Amino acid sequence: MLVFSYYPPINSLILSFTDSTNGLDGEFIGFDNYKELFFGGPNLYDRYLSNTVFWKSLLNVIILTVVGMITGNAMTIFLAELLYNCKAKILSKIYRYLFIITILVPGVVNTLIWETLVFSANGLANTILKAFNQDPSLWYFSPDFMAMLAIMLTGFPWVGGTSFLIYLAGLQNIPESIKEAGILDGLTTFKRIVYIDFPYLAGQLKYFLILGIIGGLQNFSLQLIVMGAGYGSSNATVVPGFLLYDLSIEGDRYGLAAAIGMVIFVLTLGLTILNMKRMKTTEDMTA
Amino acid sequence: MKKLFALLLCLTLVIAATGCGTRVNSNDNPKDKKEIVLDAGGDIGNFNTTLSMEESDANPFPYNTLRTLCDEWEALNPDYYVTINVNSMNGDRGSCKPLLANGTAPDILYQNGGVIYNDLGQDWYVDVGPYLAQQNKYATQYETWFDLYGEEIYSTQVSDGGYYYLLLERIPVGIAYNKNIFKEVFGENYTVPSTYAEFMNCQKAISEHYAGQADRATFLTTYQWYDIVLESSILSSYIDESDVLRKNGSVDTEELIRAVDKGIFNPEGEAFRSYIDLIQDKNKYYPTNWQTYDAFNNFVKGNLAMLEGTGATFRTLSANKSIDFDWGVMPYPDLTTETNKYSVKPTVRGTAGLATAWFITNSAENKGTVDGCVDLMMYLTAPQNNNRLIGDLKGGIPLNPDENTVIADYLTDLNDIYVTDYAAYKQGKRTLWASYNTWVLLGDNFRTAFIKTTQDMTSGSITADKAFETITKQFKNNVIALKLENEYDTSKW
Repeated sequence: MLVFSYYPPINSLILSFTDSTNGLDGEFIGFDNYKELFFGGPNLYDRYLSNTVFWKSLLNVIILTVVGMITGNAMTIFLAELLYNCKAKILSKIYRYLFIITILVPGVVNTLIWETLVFSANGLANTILKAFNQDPSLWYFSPDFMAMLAIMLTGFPWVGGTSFLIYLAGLQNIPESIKEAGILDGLTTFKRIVYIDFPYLAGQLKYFLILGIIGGLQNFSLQLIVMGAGYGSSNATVVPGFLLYDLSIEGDRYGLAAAIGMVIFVLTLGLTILNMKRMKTTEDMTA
Repeated sequence: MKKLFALLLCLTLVIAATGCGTRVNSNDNPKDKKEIVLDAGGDIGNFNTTLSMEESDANPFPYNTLRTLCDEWEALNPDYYVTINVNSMNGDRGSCKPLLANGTAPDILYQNGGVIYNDLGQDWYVDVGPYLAQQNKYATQYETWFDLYGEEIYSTQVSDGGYYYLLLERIPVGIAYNKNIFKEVFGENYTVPSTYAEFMNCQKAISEHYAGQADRATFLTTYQWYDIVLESSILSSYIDESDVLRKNGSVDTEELIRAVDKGIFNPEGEAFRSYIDLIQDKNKYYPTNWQTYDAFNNFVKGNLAMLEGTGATFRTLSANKSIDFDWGVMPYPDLTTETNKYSVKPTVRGTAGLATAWFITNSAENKGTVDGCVDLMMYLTAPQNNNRLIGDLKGGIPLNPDENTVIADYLTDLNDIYVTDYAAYKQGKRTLWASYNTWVLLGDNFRTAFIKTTQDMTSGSITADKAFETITKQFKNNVIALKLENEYDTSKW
């Protein structure tokens, strides 16, 4: 535990106050790395042609995390509800397998499918635009918000295999007596979902929101595989995780990269604590 | 309990089997011999033994020549045995750097040669300069090992005077073109463009021929190699005055900074400005939304007329069974003084110089295997062995091919042109590949900024004026930073 779980973050904290170029040692430079992140400096400007690239990366990652959590959880709960309410049990089972089996497709393959088939020059997305007499877009390579939109749309309908199963299990665990009481009280399906299902799924939702925050703030796989910080000097798709990777592995600025790691850590911790305090679980309600 | 025990046993066996499978060598790791661990990556393809030696669609290039040569070398050097890692890291910096920093990298490690500009001063690599000055005992026809490589090896010397990697091959570079499209546009007796002006006319004609067909395109690249050619051609008039500290036909980082410092080369001057303009001009027939246009696959489909590439690109194309048209490879068209008055010497064509840099690492120093590694590299670069090592891989050109060397069909034209052009270089009529490549010499930050800015310009989001302003500003900043960082002895300037 000490070696694998505690040493790396403590070492990162130390490195973030140095000018380390190799991840092992460096001169102590106080808060210079943090100042450069938030107020700009030569390393950031040279590489990204911008002094505000870190701010942009924070804004981008917050947008992507929030949108990702909303779309991912809403669509997954929606699907779980559909299958939970499906009268034909055999069909329900078949659909369950069909949605679960997509877990077997590696994430990188999924990304490349979206890049090649959907968001390429003559891909599905531009074909749809052309059908409506609209100019084709650069999608991932747009210098503007279209690049972020393309990232958000990637993976549609955003139905995660594992979370879908957990939400479905949560729905199946709602006591029959509660459901029957709802029916006797004349609840419509919509009201039943809002007043019975959602409160009972609060535990699962809380779990996935925490995982969403942790995963969302750290994620940069699409940027690494497809478009980096964004096309040209736009930095349209830059996120802190990518900056961390790029500055350390490609740019030899381990000290600066460690400072980014610390900021991500503090953000993740803060948002997780906030989420823990704000969200009530089933147990809390029962108590 | 039994089930738990069986599970643990299975896990242990799996882990043991995985560990055993990571490396391959021909003998049983005798304890009285020294081990040389080799990461056999390459710029064109790696040198690992393929799973099968049977050629098939899934395995178009069966290969085991490196292993064979290592076995032969082991027989000559019984104090050593060579372990070739099954999977090369292929120069992945995320994997290589921690190993180098901790002294646990393979004894011989493949990386892109350009990493030395970032790693200088880390003491991760052995300076092989003193060895290159000796004779290669497996190639006694050359007075020194340097001579085996020709003058291009001198351009790998870095500003501290050291040579930190050894090279295995020459990397073919040029433009693959669709012969059917050329016939359709220019007739049966077409000729490929030999000058930049002809190249632009060729692009114009193809572009007009396919006007209105969104899938069609004239010329695209997957990296900016032609920009390197154009820059060295334009700045060739500055080479004599710049290449003075280590006179070898190419300008290195210190020489570039000295040239700027002494006013020999001015990044804000007309010559460099004409280079930026030329990049914009060259790319003006790019298709709309070219950033999302898959150049390689569109060439395969017959939509793209010309595709810039290296030996790796051509090798992959040669194995692609879905190509239903004739294709060939042409060298880069020369930039002449008629187009650009500064381009007094075009570059050597056919190859992008020496390639596949193998570094002897600090691990070899710690283990005491440096002499063995050097001897092995001498063996692999000796013509009689190198011709097999590179020729069998069918992607690169051996260091010193002879009439018996088998070079892939699609590379022979490029090799012939290289031989002719190199002779012209020796007569002072051409300059070496990347002999004045500022955006590599000034480090990774400037390279990134240069590429990003020229992308902005090509996509039309900024003007050439703005691009020039941004690039020159970055240029000057990086010159100042590198001068301070490297503490050059300016008294020698």
